[in-house]
Amino acid sequence: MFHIDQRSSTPIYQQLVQEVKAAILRGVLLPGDRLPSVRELASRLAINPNTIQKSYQELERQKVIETLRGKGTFVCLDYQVREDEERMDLFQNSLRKILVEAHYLGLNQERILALVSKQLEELGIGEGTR
Amino acid sequence: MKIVADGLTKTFREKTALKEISLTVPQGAVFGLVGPNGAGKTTLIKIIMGLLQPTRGSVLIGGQPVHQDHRIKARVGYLADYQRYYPGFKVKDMYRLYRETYQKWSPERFEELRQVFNLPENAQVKHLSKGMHTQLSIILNLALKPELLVLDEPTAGLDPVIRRQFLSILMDEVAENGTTVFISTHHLHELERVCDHLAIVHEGRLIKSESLEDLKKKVRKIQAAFAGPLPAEVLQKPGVLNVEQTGRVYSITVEEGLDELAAELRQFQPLFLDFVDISLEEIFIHRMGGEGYGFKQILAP
Repeated sequence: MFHIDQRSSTPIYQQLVQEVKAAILRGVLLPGDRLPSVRELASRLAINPNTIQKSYQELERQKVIETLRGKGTFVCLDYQVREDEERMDLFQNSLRKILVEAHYLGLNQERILALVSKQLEELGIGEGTR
Repeated sequence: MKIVADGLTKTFREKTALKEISLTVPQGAVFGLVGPNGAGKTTLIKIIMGLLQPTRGSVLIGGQPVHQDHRIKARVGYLADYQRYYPGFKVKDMYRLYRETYQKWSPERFEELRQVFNLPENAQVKHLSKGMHTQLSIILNLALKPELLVLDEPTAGLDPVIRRQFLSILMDEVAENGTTVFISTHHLHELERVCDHLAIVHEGRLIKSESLEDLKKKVRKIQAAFAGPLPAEVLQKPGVLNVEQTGRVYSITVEEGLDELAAELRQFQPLFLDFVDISLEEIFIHRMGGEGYGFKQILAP
């Protein structure tokens, strides 16, 4: 369900945070769905349980998932897309990197915007999703 | 089980294999030990296991000196760099030997893992391949229900499927029992997944020992491009591990003084300036490069 690339320079805990969010976005995980336990995921992905724990804590902090004592970890029922200043900064930075890359590839504004629209469509993030 | 090594020095005749190594493996940590071939990793592991006497210094495992109290070994699983089981024994004879030697040893756990690895119980030890030998050792030691696992290159000789299987079982062991793991390997990508602490040894000295999180927070890369030339002295700082330049783009790996360097670089009006995360392998290669054990030297004629 979650793919971790150990060769990527993105820290593994961040990759997992992104993977869980992507799974929710794609509808693979729905609000109220139970996530695998830290132990299950550590064993399945062969990743240090402390790293998994850290990802889950970060997802909880961002109110994406919640842990119910003795029951497990679930996707928040009232999960909503929200803006967060710190994460907006991070996002803008990532976007800038990609745009620099696009520039080096020789893409102009029109091509870039067309590619963005195509990706949005594929992910099902249309107008009025918010 | 915590490991505390204090001032470990080991000399073999003329050769100094370890110089003043002090490190602490916290309880419940998965602690990776890396270093070039011949750096002293196996010597360090053998001293920790009480198989070699240090020339100077001491080791405590779970607060006990391992040399004086051999009972502690019943609580420690050990995978040697080279297994030496009795060649005439069958897998099931090893089973019997361990069951009779160690009180806590679990036949159920052995059988469960033997089936996972698909290891035939009637096979003779001498007919096992290197990888299967390692698997047998893994199974025997995990069935010990150890509080500490000391693993000397455990994945060498394992095929990718078995390797993944082993790491997965290892992580389950850590999650379920809080087992402390001390693991030496050359597979840095593997360590990136499983470790939370890392030590680097080189020529018998400890050149780094810290949590992976701190290490990755500290060592980062700046990627920047400048319209004009950059004065060379800007990058000649002790905290700079490596500089790569392709045209106008610089990749600068920094160990210390990241923010200061970034501030200085910004004065040269960069076209762009970004911070990039860096993989463990890159950290290792650049760090060893600084120790005179670089790529370039290896590739040079």
